[in-house]
Formats: sequence, C-alpha cells, structure tokens
Amino acid sequence: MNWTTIRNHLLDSFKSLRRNGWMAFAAISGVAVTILLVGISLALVLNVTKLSRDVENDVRVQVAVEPKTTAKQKDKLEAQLKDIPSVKKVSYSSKANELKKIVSQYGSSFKMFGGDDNPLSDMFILEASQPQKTVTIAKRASKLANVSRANYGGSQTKKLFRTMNSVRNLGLAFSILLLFVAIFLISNTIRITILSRSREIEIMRLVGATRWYIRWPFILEGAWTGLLGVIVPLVVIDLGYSSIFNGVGRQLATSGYSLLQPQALIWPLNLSLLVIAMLIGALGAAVSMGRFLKM
Amino acid sequence: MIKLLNVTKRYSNGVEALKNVSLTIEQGEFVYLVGQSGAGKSTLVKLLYRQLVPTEGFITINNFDLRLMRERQVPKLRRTLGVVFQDFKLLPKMTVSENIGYALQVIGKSDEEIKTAVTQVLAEVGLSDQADHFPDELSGGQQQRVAIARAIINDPKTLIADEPTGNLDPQTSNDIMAILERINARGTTVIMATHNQQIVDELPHRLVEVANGTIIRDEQGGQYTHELDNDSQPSTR
Repeated sequence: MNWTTIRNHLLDSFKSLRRNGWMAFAAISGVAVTILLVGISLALVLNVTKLSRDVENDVRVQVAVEPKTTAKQKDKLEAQLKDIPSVKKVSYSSKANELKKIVSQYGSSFKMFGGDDNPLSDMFILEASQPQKTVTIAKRASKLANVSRANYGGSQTKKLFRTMNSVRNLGLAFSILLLFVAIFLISNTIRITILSRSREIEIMRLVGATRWYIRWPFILEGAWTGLLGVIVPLVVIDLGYSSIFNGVGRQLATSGYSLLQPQALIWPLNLSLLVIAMLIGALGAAVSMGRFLKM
Repeated sequence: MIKLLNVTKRYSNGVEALKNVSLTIEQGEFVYLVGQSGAGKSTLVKLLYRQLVPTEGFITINNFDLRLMRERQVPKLRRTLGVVFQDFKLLPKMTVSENIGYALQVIGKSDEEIKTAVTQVLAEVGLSDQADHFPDELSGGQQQRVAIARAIINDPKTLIADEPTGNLDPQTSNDIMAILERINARGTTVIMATHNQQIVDELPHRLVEVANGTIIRDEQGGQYTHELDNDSQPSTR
C-alpha cells in the first residue's frame, strides 16, 4: 500500500464519518456508554485483584502460647517456630499487648480485663514466605509443645477469596459482554454507511479494487468511532477514580489495605480502553463488510 | 482471447439462463451480442466479468480461468477488462475527472499518473472541457462517454459494453459507437450486448445471437434479424 492509497483511505474514512453525522453520533454515544461501563468494571476488577493479593499476603498464623509457659520454654518455642519451613518472620506479642489492640479497636470498656484478669494468651505471629503455605505452617505449629492453638483465619479467609474471585470473574464476564454489545452497535452503523455507498463499492469492485482496498476506509471509520467514543468515558473514569481514591481509599488505608494509586491505574486503563475501543470499532466494521465484498 | 466451453448457468431458483454454450472470441474482435430480453445475454456478459460463476463448463478470458480462479484473483482479472453499462454507473458526488481517475485510484496509482491518464482519455472521448463538471450536469451521451473513459483508462484488453446505447438517441448512439470503433481499432476486444438494430446493421461486425440460453447464430458481418426488432426492452437477467 503506497502513501497515496493510505491518504485516500484516511480522507475517505473522515468524509464518511462526517457524511453520516447523526448515525455516527449514535454509534459514538453507544461506544461511550459501553466503554464507561467497561472502564468502571475493569477498575473494579483491578482493585479487587489488588485487595485480594493484599489480603492473601497479609494472612498470618497466630500461635497462642499455653498460659503457664516459662520464658525459657517460650524461647525454645520461638526457635522451633522459626525452623518451620516457609516461615519468613516470627514476632512475639504479649497478652497485655494483645489486650491493648482490642482496647484500641473496640473501646476502653475492655480495659477491665487488664492485669491478672486478662483472659488472652501470649502470641507468636508467624508470617509465611508464600501465602499458600499458611495452612501447613498452622498445622505444624499446633503440634509443638506449649502451643494451645494456631489460627490462620481459615474458613473466613477462604470465603473472602471466593467472594473476591467471584467479583473478579463477574466483572470480566460483564466487560466482555459489553464489548460484544459495542461491536454490534458499531457494525450496525457501519452497515448503514456501507449501504449508502453500495454503488461506490460496486464500481470499486468492477474496476478491480481488492477486498482490502474496499475494506480499509470502513475499518478506519469504525476505529475513529471507537476513538471518539472513548474520550468522555476516559475523562469521567479518571476524575471519578481520583475522587474515589481520595475518599474510600483513605478510609481503607486505616485498616492496612489500599486501592491502586490513580497514577498506577489511570494510564494503563486509559491506554487499554483506547486500544479496546478502536479495535472493537474496526472489528464491528469488518463484521458488517462480509457480505458486501462478494465479488 | 476469450473462450467459453460448454458453459451452463443455472440460478438458485432453478432457471437455466445459459445451456451448454461454447464460444471463442479472438483478441481484437468486435462482437455484437443480440437476442430478445431474457435470452441470456446479460447472464453471458456477467459471466465474462465474473459477476457470476458458471454452474458447468469453462471460461477463459485474458488468460484467467474464471471457473477455477480464487476470489482474491478477481480484481486482477477486472483490471484487464473495461465494463460499460446502460445506466453509466457514475458517482454523482465526483467530478468527471474524479470518476474517470477513480479506476486508477483504487488500484493504487499516484496522483501524477492519474492526472496524465485522465487528461489523455478525456481527449480521446472528446470531453476535455467537461473535466470539472459533475455527472448530473452532463447529457446522457456525455455521461456514457465518461463511463467509457473510465472503462478504458486502464488500457484493458477487453471492453464489455452492456447496452451502452440503450438510453441514448440515434445521433448520440452513433457518437458512442465511433468511440468504441476507435478503441477496437487499437486492438482492444469489444463485446457489446445490444438491441439497437440500426447500429448492428450500419456498422456490421461479428454477430452472436442468443435465444433461450443457447447461441442460435454466430455470423461475421451478420444483420440484426427482423424478429428481434420488436423487442427494445433491455434485459435484467
């Protein structure tokens, strides 16, 4: 393909977009709504993935020490815990410290359990080098001497992961479904463009234009429809996400988790949506070209 | 050279438009294709530029085997042909120059090449002073000359004309025939489907008459038969 041909295709595609003003506007609006929903859905999926990973990495095994364990026995226990494979870090938290945590989370009324009335146990907190080894670590720790129990959040964590996986899969399925809707919208618009230019296509075929020569202006027109349709959703998503990050994100940070930073999310998301929109535009056009290209 | 061997064309509704037709046309010949409406002329013409594919038999034209060729080779075949229709098939939003140049534009020729070729071909059909006009500003005869100019700009080996004088008055028809004769004199094969008795009789060439899907007459310098005279409606098939 030479430069003259490329220039002709570009000019043709712009001309056609302008000529089909209202139909083009309808398709662009359709793409805008679809891409907005896809963008929101993808932002949700990416954040759920991140939170899920945060939670996964944050799973720790809490080993409760039996009440009458001596300091020497505790040292021995700590050494044994460190020897368990895949244990990355072992930290100690006395029962007084554990009570402090409860008081800070649930209020000062829990102070009444201070001193000898403290029913809590001294704890060793183990961090796993690999999150999936957590269960094995808990099982091995619970078998050691002077250990009353070893918890890892068990069924609760599994439930949380299942929920997060469902949210992620539903979000992706929803996005894919929406992309098909957008392809359908664009292909219908391009079909009307093609019908209005059927005589031109007939003549192109008669004088020996190749299928690709005929296809290109329509494919470009579809891509421009996608490009124009993506502008508004990108602005809405960028501004919306920044304000959500500043609001919800800060609250979430107090519990040790965080949303993806706007800089980390917005640019990759913008670029992906731009490429997706142009691709579905081109694909929509290609779909509707099929039967018009029979020689 | 054009060769049809035992060609049958059966449409999906079961109608057999051509039955076992064989025909050979040498390079540089001028052939009239005559016959009543529905006789199979237009089907034969459409088979030649591969708008249709034969149900049975073989067609070779300008060294292309039309029955076996792949879809992607069809544009290559069409670049060796020029096709002219009764309804001109011009693009109303393009000027005369643009309509003619379009045939070169779609095969990727440069602006400079197109400009040179358009100027030359406009002079050939006598429309140099109408280059910037739009089709609806021209008479029927002038529009047909634009269509012929577009058909010959690529210097085709074969020119296929389907009722090129069908919508034109006798004088304009004679002008169009003069152009077609000139093109033929350069060595281009001209195949012209027509109902125009006056032209066939006054400018005799090889005449192939089709009736009920078969060739009933193939005669060098043949006259238009009297029976065909009553039918002046163009065929749609």
